[in-house]
Amino acid sequence: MMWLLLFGLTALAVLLPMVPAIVEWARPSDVVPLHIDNQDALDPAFLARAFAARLVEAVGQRQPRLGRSLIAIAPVMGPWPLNPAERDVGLTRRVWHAQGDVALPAELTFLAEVAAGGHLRTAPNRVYRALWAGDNLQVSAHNTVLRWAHGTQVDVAEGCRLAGRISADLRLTVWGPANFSLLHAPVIRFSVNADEAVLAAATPMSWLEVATGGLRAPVSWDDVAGRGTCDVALDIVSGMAWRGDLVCRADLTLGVACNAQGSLKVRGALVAAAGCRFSGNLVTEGHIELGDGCQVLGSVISETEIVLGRGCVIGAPGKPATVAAPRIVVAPGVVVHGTVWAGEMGKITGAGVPSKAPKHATRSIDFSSHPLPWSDGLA
Amino acid sequence: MNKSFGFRGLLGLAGLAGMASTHAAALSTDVSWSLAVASPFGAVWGWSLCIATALLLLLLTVYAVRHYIFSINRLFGVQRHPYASIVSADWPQVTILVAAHNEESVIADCLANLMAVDYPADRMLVMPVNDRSSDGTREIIDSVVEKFPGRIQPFHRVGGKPGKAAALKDATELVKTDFIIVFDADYLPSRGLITRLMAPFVDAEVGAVMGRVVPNNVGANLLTRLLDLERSGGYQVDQQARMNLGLVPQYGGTVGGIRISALKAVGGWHDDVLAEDTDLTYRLLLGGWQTVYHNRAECYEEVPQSWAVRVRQIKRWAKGHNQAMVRHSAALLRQRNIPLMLRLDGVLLLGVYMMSPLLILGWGLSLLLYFTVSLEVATPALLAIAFMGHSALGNFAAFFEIAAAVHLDRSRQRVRLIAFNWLGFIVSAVAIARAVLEQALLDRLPGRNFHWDKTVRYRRSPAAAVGSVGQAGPAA
Repeated sequence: MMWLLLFGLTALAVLLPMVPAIVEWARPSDVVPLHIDNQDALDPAFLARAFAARLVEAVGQRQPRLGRSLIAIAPVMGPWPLNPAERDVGLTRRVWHAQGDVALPAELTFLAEVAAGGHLRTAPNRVYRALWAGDNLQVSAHNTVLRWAHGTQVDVAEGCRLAGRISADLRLTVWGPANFSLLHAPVIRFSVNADEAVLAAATPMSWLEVATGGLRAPVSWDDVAGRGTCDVALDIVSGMAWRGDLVCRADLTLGVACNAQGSLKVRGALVAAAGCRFSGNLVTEGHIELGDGCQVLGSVISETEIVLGRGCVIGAPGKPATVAAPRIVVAPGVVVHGTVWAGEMGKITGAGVPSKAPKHATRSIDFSSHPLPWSDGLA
Repeated sequence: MNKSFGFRGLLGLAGLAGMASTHAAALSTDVSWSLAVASPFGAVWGWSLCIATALLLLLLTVYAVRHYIFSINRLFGVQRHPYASIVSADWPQVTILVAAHNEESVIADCLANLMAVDYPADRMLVMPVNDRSSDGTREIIDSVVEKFPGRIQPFHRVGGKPGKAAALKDATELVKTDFIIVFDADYLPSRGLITRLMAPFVDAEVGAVMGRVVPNNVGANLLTRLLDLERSGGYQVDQQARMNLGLVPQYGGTVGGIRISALKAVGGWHDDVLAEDTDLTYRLLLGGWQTVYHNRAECYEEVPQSWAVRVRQIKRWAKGHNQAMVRHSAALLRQRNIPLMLRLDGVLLLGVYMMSPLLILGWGLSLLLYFTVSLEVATPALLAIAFMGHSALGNFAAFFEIAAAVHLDRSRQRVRLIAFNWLGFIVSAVAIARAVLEQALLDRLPGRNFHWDKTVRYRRSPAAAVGSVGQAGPAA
């Protein structure tokens, strides 16, 4: 009897944890393959376009609601047909829709989407959930955009908090200091009223014809791979030019007007002085600091922070690029062709940005002291 | 006098945890570190068994801790997705190789999906690598080619060395782009997959990129559901944690991209290896290139639906992986310019398929200890061994990993099946142990050639699917 009891208890101890498994096996309730997003959230304007399509459909079918929100028609001229509650609290939760141009009233916060078939202009100091313009969109000073905003051309005045995705079909201009998360357009201009001298310095990129070749220590060159690698911190003096990718497994500092025909990968921090030019991508695990007037044809990616000096140009017309990092600080006069995506904090300053050059001792290697076959000084 | 207790050896790694908890409660708090061993076969026998068991337990513990670290990292640590935000780029030209050997039932769906991806059409060329197929694969490929002129360049391989590595080696000779992406023919690339796989190549140090594999026939039977859980653990936790921690994510041979200059720099494809993916991962590592994992580059695949197929598949993987272990472990440990932790994890990753035979060996040693050795062990040692025994059942840590992955995937009910993973674990352990024995003994016999066990496909969409090329979704 005792043996039977012991066997039963043992079997119970073994089988009890199996009960949920046996139930799920016998009556499957979760057998759908894991979802893969085929719509692809990597399209920054996806939310805006999807909203616009749903709104057009809802309006065309004379539906009173879009999702859970009532649809209201915004007046082209004259007073807005606000209900008493909206008027009292200065806040609306209805989706507002206008066929043509519209200017949003100054006294109202919009916690649902606003769409205009033509131009759309917001009022200063207000909060908006989402803005869609069939034509140009003007985001007025000190606005907050919570989810997204999209227009053919988008102008953002100073002091805005752009928490959502801001995208434009043709051009996006941020006219003053602001905070942002994601900006996306063929051309993004920051604070275009910047110092003209800085802007003038941002001339189109030109390249010296330099040959690849063997590098001296501490950079070792692999001709097959077409890249040089370096395991120590590197300090390249001003005016150097080279061709080929460079992988630095420590900090990398570049002097003024260096010219790299290739990409850079830096495990530490990358600090480039003014006027440096890169035909490839810049990728670092530490922070990236580009001095005034630097130009990068490819993307700029950091796992910590990116600081773009005045007049920097990232990408080129027809050659889009991404600037992505948890924190991004942008000085006036910067132009980005493509996307700027700050995971935690994006900030556009009203002036230049302070340097964060590495404070620790960097092993300085002056290539000019022993000329290299692969390098050539810029005039 | 030491208050220790004696027992006849170790019952087995499994029983220790329970025994430890039972006895530990009854023990006094008098701590002692003494250990006395006696055996009718002599002290050497007794001590040898003890030391071998202890070493095995230590090794198992190392792997268990490693799995726990990975899971905890994924649940609570800082996550690295440095390439996930790359939206805009001047995307480079890429050739997409689709390895196919007698794949008439699945190749059309794969090509159809590739024709629907959002990567610029003028910058990608699809190259089905039809490796000596004897079924209708060639005809199906050719009919898809006609529908998409200029976008697919088939490579019909009619001779040469058998095996995927050899086929890829020949195909790569024809590639004119700087990058390739490799798929197996049963894979169903999603719309944004190519863009996501290409994004990490903005990094000049990245030699290979690995995406995430998601079973699409998960609902077929218990095995597919267990494999779905295993895949989740392997990718969602294991691969991503290694990415987070700067260790060695593994290029898996499919749903992965390769930089051609890196491939050439490390000597190209080696057609004498059984696992060209693992081999390439380690040659890239030794050559100073990074392999990165992109958790959001997801792709559906078909997993085995029968245990026999699963056993053959995992035996093949085990042999290939162990071959890479033999080839690369020593070189990796010697490579002083690679951080120590990365080297150690790399070696542990290479040795992962050796753990099954070692675990079975440990069970055998434990039985021998039980029947042939009288062991007097102190209390603290028992507790330590109990923990090791817990880990040895192998892998509770791996199950924790699976549970963490299911949580991260926001799946709900499927985690209940985790209790059944014992089944998969035991089958895999035995299959891998057999593979190791075959590899160590039988495969070395003269006249014995390696036989490639092609994984059976279950989807049935022959030439008819060609008529309606479009995005093929998962089989719900």
